[in-house]
Amino acid sequence: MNRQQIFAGIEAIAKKIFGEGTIITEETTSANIEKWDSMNHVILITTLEKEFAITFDIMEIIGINKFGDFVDLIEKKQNQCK
Amino acid sequence: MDNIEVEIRNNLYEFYDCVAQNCGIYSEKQDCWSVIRNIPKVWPRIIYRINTEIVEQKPSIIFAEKVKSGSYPELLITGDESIQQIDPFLRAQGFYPFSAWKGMALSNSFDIVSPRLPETVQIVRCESSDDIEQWIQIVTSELITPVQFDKLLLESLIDQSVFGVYLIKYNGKGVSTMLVFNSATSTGLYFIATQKSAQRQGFARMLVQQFLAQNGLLSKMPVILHATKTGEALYSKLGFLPFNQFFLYRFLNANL
Repeated sequence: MNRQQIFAGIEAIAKKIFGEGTIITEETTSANIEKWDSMNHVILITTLEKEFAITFDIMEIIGINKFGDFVDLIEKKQNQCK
Repeated sequence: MDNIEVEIRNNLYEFYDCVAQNCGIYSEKQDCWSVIRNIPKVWPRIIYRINTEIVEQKPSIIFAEKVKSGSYPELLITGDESIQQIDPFLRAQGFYPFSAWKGMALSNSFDIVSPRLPETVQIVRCESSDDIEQWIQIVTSELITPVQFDKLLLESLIDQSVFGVYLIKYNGKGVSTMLVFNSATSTGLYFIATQKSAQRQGFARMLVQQFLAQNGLLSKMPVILHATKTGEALYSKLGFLPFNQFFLYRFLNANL
């Protein structure tokens, strides 16, 4: 998967969790989304892990600030698997 | 600053212990963790003081059973250095990490400046019902929402000498909050928050600086706090140095 495809996958999952009308870019952070609370955060993490068949390390999770960070991490993990 | 990481951890854990014990909230201490089980939606409800031994067979079975029975709260915090060992165990129980705090301590060599407060700004130690309500409104909306801070609980804390509850007012209206907890060996600063409409105007900085100028230098004990990622930069400017990390977990019902 290229970066664009990864982002599209993340965006689809995020819209299911935060609402279809939510505007999501790589720069979007939790501060931009009202429904992004601790519960939805863990739902997002676990859904991404399941959908992309990866596991985020705890240090990676706490380092995430914006959607672009998810894309970076997933891209990195997929490259490691090649 | 020897053992400062232990001090930062202990102050947080003693803070929770003290809140639960002195306010009559149900709490229990196991060998490898502690729990405060306040009523749902009311602060505090938390599992804390977790150490690596929780992954051993007997403690892990007890913990798993308590979680499965639904008798444990949904929030968990651990400052254990062996987080990489504990993390898979916690995830297997349904707890997932969502945030982290940085344990920070005031540098001994930092030159603390006493801020000049404008006439429109006033720092008060909360005692009146109105101040207490304003403090609760700010903390609830800016820090702990959707959980509430109970008024009776805060009044009970105010009555105890180990706690100090502060409010900074702008034109007579509360804008920033802080709660000070003095353990036997350190001073912890908690609930530093600013109302959204008053953020980025230096109120929290004034509150902390004023406290440090009046109290921090008089005490030989370390002054510590636990900062979010966004708060870390502010506290660094106030003379706090980063030390250990604390990890926050949220229980996720697998059926969701």
